[in-house]
Amino acid sequence: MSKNLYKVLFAIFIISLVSSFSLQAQTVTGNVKDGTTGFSIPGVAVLQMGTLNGTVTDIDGNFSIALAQGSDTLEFSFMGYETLSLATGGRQEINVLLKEDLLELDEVVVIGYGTQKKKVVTGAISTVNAEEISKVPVLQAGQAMQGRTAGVQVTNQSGQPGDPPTIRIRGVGTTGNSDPLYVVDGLVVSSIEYLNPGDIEQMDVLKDAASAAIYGARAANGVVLITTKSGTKGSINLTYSAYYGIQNAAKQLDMLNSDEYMMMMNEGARNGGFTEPFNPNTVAEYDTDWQDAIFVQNAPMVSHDVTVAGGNDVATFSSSLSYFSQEGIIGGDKSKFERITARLNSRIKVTDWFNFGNNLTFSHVNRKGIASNSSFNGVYSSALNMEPLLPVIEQNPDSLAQPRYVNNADYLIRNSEGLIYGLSNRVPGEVVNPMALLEIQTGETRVDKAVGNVFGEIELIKGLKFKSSLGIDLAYVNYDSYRPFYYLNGAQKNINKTSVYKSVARYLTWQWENTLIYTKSIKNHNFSILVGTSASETNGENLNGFNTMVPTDDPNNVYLDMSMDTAREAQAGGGAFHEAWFSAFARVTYDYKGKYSFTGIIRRDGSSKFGPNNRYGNFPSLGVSWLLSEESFMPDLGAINFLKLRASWGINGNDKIGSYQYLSVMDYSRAYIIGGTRLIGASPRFISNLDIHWEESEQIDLAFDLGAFNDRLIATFDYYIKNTNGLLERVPIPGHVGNDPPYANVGSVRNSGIELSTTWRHYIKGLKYSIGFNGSYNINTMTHIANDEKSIQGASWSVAGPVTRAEEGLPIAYFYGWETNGIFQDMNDVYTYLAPDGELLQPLASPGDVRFVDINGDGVIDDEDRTKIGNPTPDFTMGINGSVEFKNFDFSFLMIGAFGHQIFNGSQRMDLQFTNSTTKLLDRWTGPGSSNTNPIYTWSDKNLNNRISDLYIENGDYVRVKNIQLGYSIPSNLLSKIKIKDWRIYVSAENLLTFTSYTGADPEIGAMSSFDIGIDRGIYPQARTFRFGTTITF
Amino acid sequence: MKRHMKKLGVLMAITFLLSACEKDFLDRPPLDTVVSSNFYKTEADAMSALVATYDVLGYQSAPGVSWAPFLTMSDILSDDAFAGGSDPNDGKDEDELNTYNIPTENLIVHAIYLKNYTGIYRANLLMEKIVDIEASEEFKSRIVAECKFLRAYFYLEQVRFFENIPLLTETIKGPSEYIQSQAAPADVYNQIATDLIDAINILPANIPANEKGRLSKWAASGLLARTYLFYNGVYGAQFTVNENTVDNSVVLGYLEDMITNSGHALFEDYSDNFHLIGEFGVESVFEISHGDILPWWDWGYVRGGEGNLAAQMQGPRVTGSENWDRGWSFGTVNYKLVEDMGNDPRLDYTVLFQSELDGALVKGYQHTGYYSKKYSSDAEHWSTGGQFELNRTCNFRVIRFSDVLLMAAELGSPNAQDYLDRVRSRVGLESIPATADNIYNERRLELSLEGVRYFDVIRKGMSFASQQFTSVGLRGPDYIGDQVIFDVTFNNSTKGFLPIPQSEVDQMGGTFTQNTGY
Repeated sequence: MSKNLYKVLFAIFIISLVSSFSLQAQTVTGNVKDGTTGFSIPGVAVLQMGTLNGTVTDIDGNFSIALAQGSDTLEFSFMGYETLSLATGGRQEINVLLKEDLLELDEVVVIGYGTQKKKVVTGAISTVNAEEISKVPVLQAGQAMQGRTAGVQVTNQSGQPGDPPTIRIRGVGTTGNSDPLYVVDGLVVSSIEYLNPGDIEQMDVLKDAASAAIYGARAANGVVLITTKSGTKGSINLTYSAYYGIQNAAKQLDMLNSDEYMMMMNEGARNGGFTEPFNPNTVAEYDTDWQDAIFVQNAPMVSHDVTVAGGNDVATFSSSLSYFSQEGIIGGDKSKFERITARLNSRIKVTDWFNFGNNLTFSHVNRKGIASNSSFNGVYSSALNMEPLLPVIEQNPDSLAQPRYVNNADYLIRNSEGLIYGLSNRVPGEVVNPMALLEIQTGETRVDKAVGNVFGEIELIKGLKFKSSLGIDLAYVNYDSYRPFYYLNGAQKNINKTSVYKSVARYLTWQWENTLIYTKSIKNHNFSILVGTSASETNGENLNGFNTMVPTDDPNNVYLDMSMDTAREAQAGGGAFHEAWFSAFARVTYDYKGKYSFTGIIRRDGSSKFGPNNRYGNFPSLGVSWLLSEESFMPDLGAINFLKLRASWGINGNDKIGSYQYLSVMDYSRAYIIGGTRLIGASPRFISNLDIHWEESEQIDLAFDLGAFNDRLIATFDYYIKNTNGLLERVPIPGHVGNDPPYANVGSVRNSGIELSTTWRHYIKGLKYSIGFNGSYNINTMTHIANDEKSIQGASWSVAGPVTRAEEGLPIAYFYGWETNGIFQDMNDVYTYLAPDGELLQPLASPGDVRFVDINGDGVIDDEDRTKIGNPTPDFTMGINGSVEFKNFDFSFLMIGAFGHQIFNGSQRMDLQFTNSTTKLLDRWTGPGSSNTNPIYTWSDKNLNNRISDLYIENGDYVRVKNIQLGYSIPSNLLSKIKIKDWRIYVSAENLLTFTSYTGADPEIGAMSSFDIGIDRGIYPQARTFRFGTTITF
Repeated sequence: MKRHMKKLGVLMAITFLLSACEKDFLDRPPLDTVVSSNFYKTEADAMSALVATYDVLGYQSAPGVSWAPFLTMSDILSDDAFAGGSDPNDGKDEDELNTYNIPTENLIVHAIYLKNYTGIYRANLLMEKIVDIEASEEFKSRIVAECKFLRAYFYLEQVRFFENIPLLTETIKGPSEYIQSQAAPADVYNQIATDLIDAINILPANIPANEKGRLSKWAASGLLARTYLFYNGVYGAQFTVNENTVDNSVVLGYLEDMITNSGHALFEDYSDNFHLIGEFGVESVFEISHGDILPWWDWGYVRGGEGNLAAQMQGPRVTGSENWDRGWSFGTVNYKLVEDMGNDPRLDYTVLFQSELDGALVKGYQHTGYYSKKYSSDAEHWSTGGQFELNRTCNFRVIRFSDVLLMAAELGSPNAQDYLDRVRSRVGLESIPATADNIYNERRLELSLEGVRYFDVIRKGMSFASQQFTSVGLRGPDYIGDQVIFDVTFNNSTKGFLPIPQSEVDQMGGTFTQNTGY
């Protein structure tokens, strides 16, 4: 990397030397001071606009600049102050007062089809800006919100590169898809993983229904508006950013070593009535630490980003090229994410009344992955269950002479040196040598995406603008996988035929939006009226093929045509879908002196996902705010200089279900063999339900914004109640109907909570610091489920069955299982654990077995006794961030935390014999009084000790130091000599520390679906990363 | 300039609004699949719909329960087999059937219930749709007759298991029709008889080779007799079909016609009935096809495959064998059957002995040392592709000609002695008098582990069932486990019926009554 960096630097250096070769004319000197305190400010960049000519103020705030030919305007900029442009007007001495840029409320927020000053915003909108993103570079756009936005819970799904974070705005709003709507530069996009985080200028999260109502039927889970960078008038800047990082496992679990393993297996066998498998005098040949084997040391991560931006009075542009690559700490390049993006945003002022512009991005993503949280084929879960007696590589000739090696000689998996991976003859089922399992992983996804829009804006009369914007989101998604020959154990093998699977899919969404906006101020009455229409269509088509007997040495280059199979088992498939939306909307905003503000929105949406009966819906909202602190009648509030009250109400929809769900489509996956031929049959896939409509969410938001100590302290507090009705689910219908149920609007969920975000910023004599805190407390309750069970079954764990479900009165996706009440210490305990009728409650139990609670009191322990044993969704999430700048050094940190939830620790396969365990197993019950929490270890689990119970539940609270960073900016006086405007280097660490009592590898477990959350099946843990990075602006 | 601009802008906006408001824009019918409302049009469509109805014959699972083959489950209910499986937890639902201690939430019970109504729905739907399909009357009438047979078959499974069930001869059209009530069992049986007699009158006598698997009139006759024996045995009544009484002699008449005219006969070799060579052979009156023509992989949609799941479930847990491959040891055979068969030559074709197994054997729950040999994970029926568990290829012979002979004998055929002799002499046994007891007992010897035994016992009444199904102190010489896990006591308060699945009762809000004994 460094080699490339130097090349780039050198090239840029040469260019800048040539371009700045110009005649020197006049010299201007002066002094820069803080406008409030009057202190001199050192280090202020002073730049002659439109040139690369510049300098910085010295320790006393003095500067001297020799003006080059060209503009006579100077620009003074310094972090934390508002940038000031000043024409010299021939003056030779200029003294400048800079204004502290503290007034966050003067910031502009994006509200959908326009922007608004934060001061007059009536809704709940959280903003993350480019500065925050560039200071702590994130790997994916979604992570930029983590810990920075109250009410937005961002949880990484796993530590696998490219696994998208789970983003939930104000709680989980549905049992279906609760992802927010993403809108990039006005274009609704399906996901944001294609974005280069460095391209983002600002992210605005519309949290309350009143704000989100402008996106109507698709906004119920919140809206994330992303604005990419565009150029500004002035000199052309070239910025090069790069970092290189190394990643390592942050934690390894303590597993049984070979001696402990043999002892425990003997004990399990003995207790289960089996013959002890190991002679107690055996000395283990191997003591393999499978975690050591699978975790890659110093897995690399690299990012390069070049941005050129600038412009003049006629046109501005911003263009970038970026490359990002991350290898995983498990599997290295088998678990790898790569992203290349190229972007051009431009704005052209064609005439006084006509503007033209575009935002265009091309992106290529390449993702190779392994199962990141799976009981059955996970590499990490295999590592946590594989016996330590097995060597990673088997070289012992006696072992290799055993039938499992000899009989499968052609199918054994070998490492790069041709050595054979060890095969266990003890551990059964899906638990296999994880290194061998890694070797046969071949799935690869490649996405080529072009996203962009072109727009024109006409000012019809003063204040009245018509804008038309046409955008597309085009994606080609290729997926390949190759199934080599392998023999991992008797159950996990492919000894018949190798095969290759390929698929290609094309998705195209176009969106055409037309808006008319009229902005007018009459005296102190400011109002704007927006009306618009939006039409959008998505088309998707895919093709896939499968072929067998494809010999190859290179699983990355396998094609269907390489088949050598005379049996012609090739298969092909493919399909298509289309969806469309049409919407009309209007918004009125009004404020009087910024003191009283009002926003009203109505959007009418039509969605092809619903039948003619319910195709259209209306989504209204109202919001008001009152700037109390501006009222003359208000008494002096002391330190408080700003106080705004806000209230809003609105209705949003969620239409995230598949296409055609209201119809009864024919399903051709029926078949019967007649006359020796497999005939294809067809019958309706499910009953139709023409009446389904979107899920509808109604939300009230009450809030205040506060500024104190001259806005050094800024706080925002929100309280909301969000009721989502008509959840779309397939709930069971009577069996005698004879077909699967259709979607129906059947449930309701309520989220209510409070959000607080607060920042304190201060500047004392060259020391600038800030500390911010944001916290969200959300209570989620399923208020209604319209089936007889009043429940919906959720995700499953391992072979044990469902572990989460939804039920009226409880949170969405709570952990569901048996409650335990200690361990039977002796037979007397078993004999005295009686049902109301005097019978034994657990007749099959022996001492050491788990005592389960007869929740329903019916005298038997059965499925009906399952109850709530935990909640995977945190009540409280928070972020704390801080920064200190002194002289040229800057330091920052970001901590995140989540509290009040539990994790289901299911990484051990207790249903199988011979699997290894963490050392927690050593705390098992061994006799009366030995343990009242960990049952006896036995291979015949008559009492079903291993069923889903609270014994698997652990406290999931954690606080994680997500990022900590130290940066140094090269002094400007040095830089100005080499014509560099800004050069910062930094070191940072991610996931440096995690405070938790959770005993699994990683407490941050995102949701795979609304129901599959907080279940640790041996999750791919997040890496601890150290990065070195730099940003140079020319 | 500005004036023009204004006009232009307004024009654009209006044009756009109008053009985009077209109604069609949001009307997006599926591109790659047909919607049921415009499907049923041609003969080919009707055939596809018919295949989908036949498909349910091969279902041995339902959503939520992947493994519930009729064969295995009915034998586990009987005294021929135990639950088995790897451990008590593995076969929990099976064990509940085995011990007649069946909670109303038992998943297998629900799977069976759902499966049969799926078949009934598809048969009803096709009979409703075929009216408007463009096809010859001959084509239509055969399809309707097949639908009636299939509907009768599914209703028979359903009513024998559940007794009190809703009787639907049309599809349910919407949520307003969800609530139904249970029909009197006699109404269900009469419907079955009506459907079968209609089928007998229309279905062809001969099925050409390229249609093997489709139904003949003889299959309908056989099923009618099976239904009659059960109904008459349990309720002591005859069928009423179109206000006519269908009694012993009518049913016997259909069987005699078959015996005389159908061309069906016994294989010389008894074991051909359980080998590929005998599929759709001369002895097979009604047979459900299984196979691996499209190798199946999908564990999430097991019933999409055509494999015989019973064979996977009942096979021994053997690895490294040339002859049997990795079954799951469900339905381990009861020592009682081995004892009852004694020296009968059919024992060797019926029961797979532990001693016959090569390879490494893992002994599961309720290991008796005996497995079914008729439907097993034997090498002949291994798949050539796909996930081996999902692709066992043996067809299920539902009604064999020997069963027909025995039913005719039981119904009082004047040729009873001949029929019994034919069944016995085929396996080299000498003649015994064709007494009712001997005929009945022959069924056990001839048809065990074929899903017949349970209903044969139940139809003889509860005291007989208690005597047969209660089995204490038996476990054979090769058992693993305590005696207590082999001891089974029949619960005659249920009359041998399964519970109506709890969630079905719950969803009916009171219109369903749970079966007695639950």
